[in-house]
Amino acid sequence: MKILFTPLRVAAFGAVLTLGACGLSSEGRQADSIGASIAAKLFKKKSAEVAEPVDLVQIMATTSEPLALLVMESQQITVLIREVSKNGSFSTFHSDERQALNFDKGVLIATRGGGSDLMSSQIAPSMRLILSEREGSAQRVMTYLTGDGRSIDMPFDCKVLRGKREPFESGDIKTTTQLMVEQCSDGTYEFANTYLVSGGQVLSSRQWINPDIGSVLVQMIRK
Amino acid sequence: MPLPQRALSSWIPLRSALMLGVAAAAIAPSAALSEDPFAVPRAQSQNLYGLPGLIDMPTADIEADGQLTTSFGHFAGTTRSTLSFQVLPKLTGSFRYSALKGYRPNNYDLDTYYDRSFDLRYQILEETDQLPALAVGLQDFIGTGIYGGEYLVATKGFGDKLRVTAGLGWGRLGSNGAIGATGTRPIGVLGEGGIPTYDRWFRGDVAPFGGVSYQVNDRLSFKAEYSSDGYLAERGLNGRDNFGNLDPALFERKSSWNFGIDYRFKNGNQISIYSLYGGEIGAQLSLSANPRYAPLPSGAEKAPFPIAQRRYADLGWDLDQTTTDKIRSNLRSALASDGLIYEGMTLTATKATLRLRNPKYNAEPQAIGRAARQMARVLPGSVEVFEIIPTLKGAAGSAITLNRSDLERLEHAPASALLAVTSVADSAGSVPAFEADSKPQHSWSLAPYVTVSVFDPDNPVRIDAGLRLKGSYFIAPNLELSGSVAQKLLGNLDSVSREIPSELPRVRTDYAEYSRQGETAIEHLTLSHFGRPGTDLYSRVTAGYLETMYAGLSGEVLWKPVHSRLALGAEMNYVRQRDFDQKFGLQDYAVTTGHLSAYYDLGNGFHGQIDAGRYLAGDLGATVSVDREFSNGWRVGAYATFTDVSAEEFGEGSFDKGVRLTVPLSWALGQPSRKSNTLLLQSLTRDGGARLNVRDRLYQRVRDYHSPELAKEWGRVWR
Repeated sequence: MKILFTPLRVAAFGAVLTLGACGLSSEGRQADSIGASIAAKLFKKKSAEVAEPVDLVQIMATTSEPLALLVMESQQITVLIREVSKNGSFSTFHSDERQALNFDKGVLIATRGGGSDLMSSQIAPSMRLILSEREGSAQRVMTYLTGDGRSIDMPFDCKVLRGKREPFESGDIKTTTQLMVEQCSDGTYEFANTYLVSGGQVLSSRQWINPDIGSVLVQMIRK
Repeated sequence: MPLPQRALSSWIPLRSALMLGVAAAAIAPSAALSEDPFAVPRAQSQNLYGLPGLIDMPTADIEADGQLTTSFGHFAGTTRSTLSFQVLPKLTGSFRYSALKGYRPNNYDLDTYYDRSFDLRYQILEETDQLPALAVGLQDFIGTGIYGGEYLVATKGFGDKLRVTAGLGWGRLGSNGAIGATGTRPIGVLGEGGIPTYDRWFRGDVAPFGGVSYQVNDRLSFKAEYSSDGYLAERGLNGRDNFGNLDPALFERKSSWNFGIDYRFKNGNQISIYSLYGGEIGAQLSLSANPRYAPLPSGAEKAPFPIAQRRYADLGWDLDQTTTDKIRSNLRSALASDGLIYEGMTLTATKATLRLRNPKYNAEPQAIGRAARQMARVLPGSVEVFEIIPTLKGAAGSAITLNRSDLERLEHAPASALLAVTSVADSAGSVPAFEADSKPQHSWSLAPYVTVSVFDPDNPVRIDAGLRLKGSYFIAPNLELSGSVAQKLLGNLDSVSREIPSELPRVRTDYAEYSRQGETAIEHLTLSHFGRPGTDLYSRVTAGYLETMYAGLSGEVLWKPVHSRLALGAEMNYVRQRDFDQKFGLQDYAVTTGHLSAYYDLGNGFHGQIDAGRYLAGDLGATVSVDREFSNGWRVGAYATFTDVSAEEFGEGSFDKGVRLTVPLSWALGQPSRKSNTLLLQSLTRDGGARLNVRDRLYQRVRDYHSPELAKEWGRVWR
């Protein structure tokens, strides 16, 4: 996930705090990590994170849980995410860095660990249309946290449109999917999510998270 | 692709209705504020007074609610440092510290004159398509008044780039080109200074001022203004009152026209260059931040563990010691992996009560949520009710009860849905016993420190730096032995040469002596006890060397029901003044002080507090403080103390007042942390209205786990 940081802000308001974060303490690594975080923010160059190359074949052979690939467009990186929990129709996927995406039948509803997370979504009307492959209008509400810790709802007016029906092959999955497009706008931001739907579930999608991160691609490689 | 930004000026604040116990509309969207957390407000362009303005003149513009701006400007020997805060959407407050080199009014014996001033600006009308924005302002309205002035100003934009300002000024802002007068302006100092100069406001000569600003592009803008400020004092032309420059004038005012260029950086900070009064060059740096917008609002910490599917254990598992011991130790490790401390648990087949310590998360609901997730992972399936009791130095805070079925059902629902089914109650009677870990709770640290003291005319910024060794050891869960020793390595806090006169016992004015003799200082060494004397009651008793200057005994009791916005407290201290060398010795001066306090959550982030009682010098009176708090831990506030000490006895400043600012580390870093830094700008250190600086006062910590505070940051419960 894209991390925003403003070195001057940290320097201006954290300068005296950093002194306390330096030095020794019985907390050991924990206290050091605050100093290290500050140092990293002040001095680290904004280089692209190089993800460790992942042996997909080996992972697929040695594990059995659902897997997906996550592509973050803004940072041009691809990450493998694994399902760690299923709660009814909801599933939680974690990356190796323990950043989380929560899905409801494949539709993204929340993220965790991204800095400006999507905290929750109320998208039942959109989901009904998308998963039953019907066109129509719906409203969706996406909830975020403000800088001072309050929840804020951003409602979007959306239109769901149907696209082509095409074969789909990805990892262990081989089927036919229906393309559904959801165009949303709230007057300030607008985005278009695309979903490849099969059997009431989304197998591959491009979904918008927030204005900072933009959209991410999620493609299941094993159900 | 984002569409053009909607103007922020049209939003109407709504109180978020996160009231506990409201079961209705559990899944419906919470009352939303129609604002955009991703559109960081654009900071206004500051003038040399540190407020939105042209160059020296004000405009009718204001900053976004909560904006905090620091400006450092300089020209013609005058340096102005201003801290401005948008207290309310329409009200701006500023505190300014100015240094005028070469300005020497009557009886002034130093080369540089230092002045503190407070400003207020209120925007009466917001700008619309037809009407300009209209604002009224009071400049330097408390105190000795070198910058004293008032204004009424209107600003209108024409097109996207041009803004035109015109206004009328009084006092300082009416001293050049006056077109009339509204009465006469008194010139005497009220009291000993330090009092709002209400007898002057909008009286005396009135003069027009105005100007334009032109926004060339996103970063660069040009400004031009006609100034109504005659700079009479700096030019030695104000011989009527005490403020006349006896030396040659600070600069020559050849013209009333000023010009400036502003450059704005991407993060909102600005740098400006000015051509002033026909022959002077000036420059200014402005830094801007808004506590309502954080770099990483939801934090960069790793994701919490999901609510796991229940695993059921054999019937009767709760009676098997081995099984329950294993569960306790599993939960201890699970909580530790999230940075939380397991202190104890009462476990039955259907209910678990966890005694929890949270050293990590600034947002208490996040600690509760993470603890609940770990309980759901570790506890057998038959446990349905989770009761979490956070402790504050061993004293139970509140009891927060959640049902496991609700956690499972609402894991992916909005946070407000969980709030509706969570109950908060007093924990009296249900607190589990403390289960000792292998060693008692303790911590120590050795770190550098910096102490900054400002406002003394001899040396306006004094800094001491050194090393501090701190330690804390809990003899019992709620009995803490704590100490801090500081070794000064370098600094000039002790170089106060001027004798500070005081008609009162010298309870605070000997600070320089403490600094001079306290190279190695025991900052505090105390034994503290924290208790729960009864339902809704919290207590603290601290004994030992309580603070730098005083040792003795301090006791406090606080009454605060978990749902209440009101809290009442009583504190009593018996103390003796410590020796200047800050070791174990004591001086003769002893005093009994005490206060009755009322605390009230005024809503919208505002907190009021009144403390009435007896202060260190034996004076009787009250302190009123108002703070604006943001749920992320930022606090900006002001206080004033009025006692039976007359203004003459108190001395310069008339009464004690100050401004304080708290910045949480977690806001700047985007990582959870309970550390914060508090900056106290006290008008002057005098002996009237002085309160004991004892640590661990109850209210600030106790309220964190009560329902009004929990509701404010409840959005983080699932984080």
